[in-house]
Amino acid sequence: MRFLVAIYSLNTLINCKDFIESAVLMTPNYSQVYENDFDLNKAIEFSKENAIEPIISINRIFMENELDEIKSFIFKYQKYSFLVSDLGVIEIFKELNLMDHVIYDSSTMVCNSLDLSYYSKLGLSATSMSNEIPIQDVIKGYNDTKADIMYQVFGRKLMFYSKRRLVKCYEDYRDIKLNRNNLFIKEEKREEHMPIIENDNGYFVYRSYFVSLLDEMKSLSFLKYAYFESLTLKDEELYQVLKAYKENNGDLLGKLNLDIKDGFAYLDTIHVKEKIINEKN
Amino acid sequence: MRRIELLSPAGDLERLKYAIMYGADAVYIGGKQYSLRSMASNFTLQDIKEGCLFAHERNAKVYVTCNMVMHESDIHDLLKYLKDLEACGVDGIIASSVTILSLVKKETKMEAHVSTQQSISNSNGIKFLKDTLNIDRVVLARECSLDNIKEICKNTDTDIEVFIEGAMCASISGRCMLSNVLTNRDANRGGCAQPCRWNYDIYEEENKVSPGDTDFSMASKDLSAIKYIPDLIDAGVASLKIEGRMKSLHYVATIVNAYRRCIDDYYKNGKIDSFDSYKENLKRGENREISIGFFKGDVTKNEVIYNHGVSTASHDFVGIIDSFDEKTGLAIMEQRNVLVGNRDIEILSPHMAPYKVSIKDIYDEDDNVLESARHPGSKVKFYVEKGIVLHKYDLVR
Repeated sequence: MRFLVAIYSLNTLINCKDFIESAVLMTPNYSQVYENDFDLNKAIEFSKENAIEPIISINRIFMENELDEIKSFIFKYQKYSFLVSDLGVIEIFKELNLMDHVIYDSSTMVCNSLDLSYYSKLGLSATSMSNEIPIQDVIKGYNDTKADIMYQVFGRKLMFYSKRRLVKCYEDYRDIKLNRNNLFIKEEKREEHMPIIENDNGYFVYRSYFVSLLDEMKSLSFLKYAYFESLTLKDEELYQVLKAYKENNGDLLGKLNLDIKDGFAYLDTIHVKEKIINEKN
Repeated sequence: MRRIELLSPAGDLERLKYAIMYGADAVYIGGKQYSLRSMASNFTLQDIKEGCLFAHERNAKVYVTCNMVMHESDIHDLLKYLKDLEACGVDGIIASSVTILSLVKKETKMEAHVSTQQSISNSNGIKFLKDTLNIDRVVLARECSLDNIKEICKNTDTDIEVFIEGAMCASISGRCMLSNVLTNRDANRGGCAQPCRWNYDIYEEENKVSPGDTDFSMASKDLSAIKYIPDLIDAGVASLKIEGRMKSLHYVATIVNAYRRCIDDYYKNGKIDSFDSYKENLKRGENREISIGFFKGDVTKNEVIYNHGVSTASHDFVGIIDSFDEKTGLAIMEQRNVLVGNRDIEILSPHMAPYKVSIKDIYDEDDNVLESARHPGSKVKFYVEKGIVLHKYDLVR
């Protein structure tokens, strides 16, 4: 298992390098979420110098008129691995005979062993299983397929990805300008503050809490990549999180006083109709 | 040149029949397994068989949605279910799961259509699915602009299906977990609670920075792309899809009727002088706030709903003509909503523009004059002027 950490700034990579084995480098333009001043080349160089595997994120959805541009980008960085969400981008890797350079992360679409099996047979480096399935399904997925799996074990989980720039729309509607840093949304009847990010690639909503599967890491030892989402964490907090995972030290994690839950690890979501029928019975 | 397909939703057998009678070339429906829209009254296998017979007799097709993103616990007798659907006469399966798409192509003779849940927005994605799964059709992501749709059609031989009317997810389809997290209802398994339509405030750290009272909205206005029909036909799109398996019979008939006439108008005349009458007729189906979605590129504030008011169709659906006597002008109507006598009613008939008819007294089945008919399901009688001919299955509103 490799610790795969989402990296949005070079400083984070530098500050947390002791515990990062693979780094998802969030590229301006091609990642869902990114920092404008992120220097991809410097991050790759730093990664190589520190025996960190650089994995370049191009994980947004691409339109027809963007295919040539992304193909050129892939070609330029073809010796590295990539985090990909768009099947059209995977086709580019297929044409280039570079399927083993791809981690396919559709975030929500791979929820069972049969679909996992299909993707794993494509010769990908790894396939991400959905964040929203019980941990037993992830384990079954591996047991049934022996696939190379990426799975998020810590951090904010993305729960809404829109191509609509909804903050900008709201600003236009209200004729205001909002500071775009540290924004949250709060639903009128709920207390949770859910972080939102908006950039040229769209609008993203994350859970109000951090998901941690530290206690489950033993049963997830088969993972090829254990993914840590670093969004909204300070570098020193991320460092401590990674250290806690490396040392299996729950106390260390607890000292950070983060709002931590286990997400859907032990909870399957419901189909409304079936639930109603069951309740009636 | 192959004519474009008009594809209608149908939540039950009755709506399937009306969709086809009112001009749909194909309908998509949900079965009892593997379908999203768990609130829709999904079809039994017997219903599906009857629906296929009805459709095929009228040269229409039936596609069944199996577009749930399956968890382990959902997988029961998948191949048997697909085989059962094939035996019913189903023409195609709409799915996002690569497992289902693969089984459809390898184990049945049905077509495999890739659901919009897969968010395919470029021809490379289509090529990937064609090469690896031999799929027959891709329903494009609703984020595609008209220019992108045209380019995609140029760059692929695979059938392309495009949404033209109905509700839009604010999120990229299939990539939304709001409902899962906030309500434990799984959007990708048919339980979406539509939290994107709830009201929110924006905060910077602990400070509320949105000036209104919970007026930050993620909700999308409905799509209505009737003015792009000529462009979509010229682009080579194979199928035009209307959203709404949970919508009423009246909605289905009204929307299908308007698009049918618009499409036929364009094929017949090579142009459409005015879309106004079609737009006006679409409003009679539901009249929610509409927009052009992503057809012209990125959305603006004009595509977002900021005032969540209650909208109603401009006309109330009151019943379906059950029989008509041309000699006497007597119509017998199966009542669906309240009807009052001595008023103008509007008739919606397959393949025709809606038209107005004046009625005077209305009668119950025993010929008693009624002030108003208030019992949905019962029969109501009225007379129309000489020269007007109504037909069984005409809708009255």
